[in-house]
Amino acid sequence: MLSQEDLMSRITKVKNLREECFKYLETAAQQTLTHQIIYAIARLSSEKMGPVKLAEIAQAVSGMSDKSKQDVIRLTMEKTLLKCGMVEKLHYAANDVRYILTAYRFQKVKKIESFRGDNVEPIGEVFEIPMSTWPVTDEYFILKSKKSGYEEALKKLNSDYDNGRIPRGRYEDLIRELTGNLNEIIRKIDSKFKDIGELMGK
Amino acid sequence: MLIISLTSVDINYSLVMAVPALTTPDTLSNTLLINMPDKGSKNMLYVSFVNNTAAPYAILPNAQSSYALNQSYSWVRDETSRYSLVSYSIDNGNFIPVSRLARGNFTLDIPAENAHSIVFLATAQYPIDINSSTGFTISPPSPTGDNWFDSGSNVTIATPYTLQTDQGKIRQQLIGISIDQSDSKLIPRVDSGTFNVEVLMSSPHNLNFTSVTQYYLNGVSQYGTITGIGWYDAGSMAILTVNAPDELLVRPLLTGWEGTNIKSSGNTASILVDSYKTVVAKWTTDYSQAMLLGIIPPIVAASIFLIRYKRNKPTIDLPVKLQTTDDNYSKEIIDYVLQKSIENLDSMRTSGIISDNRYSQLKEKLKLN
Repeated sequence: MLSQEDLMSRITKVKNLREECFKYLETAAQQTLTHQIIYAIARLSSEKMGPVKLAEIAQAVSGMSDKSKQDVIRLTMEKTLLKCGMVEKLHYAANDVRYILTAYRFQKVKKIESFRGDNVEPIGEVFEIPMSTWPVTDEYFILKSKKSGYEEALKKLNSDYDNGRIPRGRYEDLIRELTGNLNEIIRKIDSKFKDIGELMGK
Repeated sequence: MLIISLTSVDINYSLVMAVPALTTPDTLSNTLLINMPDKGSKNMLYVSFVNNTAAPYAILPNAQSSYALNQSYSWVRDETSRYSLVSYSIDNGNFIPVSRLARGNFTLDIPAENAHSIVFLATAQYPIDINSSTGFTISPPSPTGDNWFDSGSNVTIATPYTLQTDQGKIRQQLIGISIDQSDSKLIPRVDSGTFNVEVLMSSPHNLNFTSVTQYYLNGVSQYGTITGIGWYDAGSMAILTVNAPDELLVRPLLTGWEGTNIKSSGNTASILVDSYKTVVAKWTTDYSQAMLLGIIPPIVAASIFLIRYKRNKPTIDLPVKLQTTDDNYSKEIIDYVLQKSIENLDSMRTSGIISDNRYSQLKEKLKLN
């Protein structure tokens, strides 16, 4: 399977797409097979935390995974998403090919050819595949939730001490314990999920 | 005095030099005076250039109300430079800037009832020629919108260290620069950012950037971690190494590597990087230790139990856990941490960060942590 770093890098990077490729993401293309394939790969990759097989994509898109459906999906991907560089094809073995999105955030660009060389000019804002389909590990969400839980618990502890509910000694023990735990969570989030945290926290 | 009749308003330096070729007999209307005439003609137009960047001339317009004077935006200075029109002055007034353009004519409407004196100001320009396969930008940009720059100006050329021609697969890596045909100088290899070079435009310049094609070498493995993944020069050899996990009973054994142009030895593979490629470490599972110990059946039973257990219990190794005490207040705090953690999870679901499906799984894992 792909490493966690690889999956994270796919989320954090913004991929430039020319208009003829960007159109597959737009609302107007919602009914097209290509659009449905993109979202199916995103959703399945998020569930499996890795690349997905053609049969799984076919099942998700059409509710069937027979060979003819798989052929349609494969040919559509080859002509559009693979050509545009939006999907990557990984050969795990001779009979084990899997697919994954190359990025989850896309920028529509216009290519400008001039004597100074080719340049790209961004058009509009960065488009994001919904966060709920990003391949972010459970560990991140658990840590984020726990962080919030400990922060709130520290507030309660201070408030209870101020109101005389607990003695000083007990209060100091708990403060030390809760703060230590919170700092450990923060350290782990910062070391493993800094970029993703900034993206999801915005 | 040589007098030549002209048809129109195409009066400029090159025209003066080629006057005979431009005379047309059809509609002779204006009169060009090659030598400056004596002042005093009623509506004579005197045209001159600051610093003699072009020869002065005079025109005797026939028009009754106004006369359209055309002046080229640029004209040849010598083999390597040109003049570019900057501004003009009428009857010794202030100089008025003109739009800086590389080609075409600047047209000025002059009232024809009286004599006037027009002075044009031009500056020398030199061209810069840049060859870079990673693209480049020039700042400040050319005032004339092309690759020519005013004499004496400083120009910064910025070129990215890398340019991905196929995102994540193929890129150009900047490695050298040659200025004005000099020997190429090495540029340190950097993954991101831009390389900047400043030149003074006191002569024409030629900048030749050298780059190499690089391919991304990816590696996947069911077990352990692979080192050596990254960008490599086309045609180079790369070494990938996978570390085998140290398991006591059921051990993964590396059986080889899959990919093109690979030579492998043990947990190391040498790969010829001739395209973007993904190399796969192939594994099999060694049960011999477990067989020897005769504990396969218990392990199978335990595995079944674990699979069922794992559906409910998360495998996340959280570094922190509040120590449970028999103190009622401690229990209250522990419950409070969980309650607030779940509320945070709720808000992530509400804001669409996590799906409903995932929310249920995460909530269960939180409860068990």
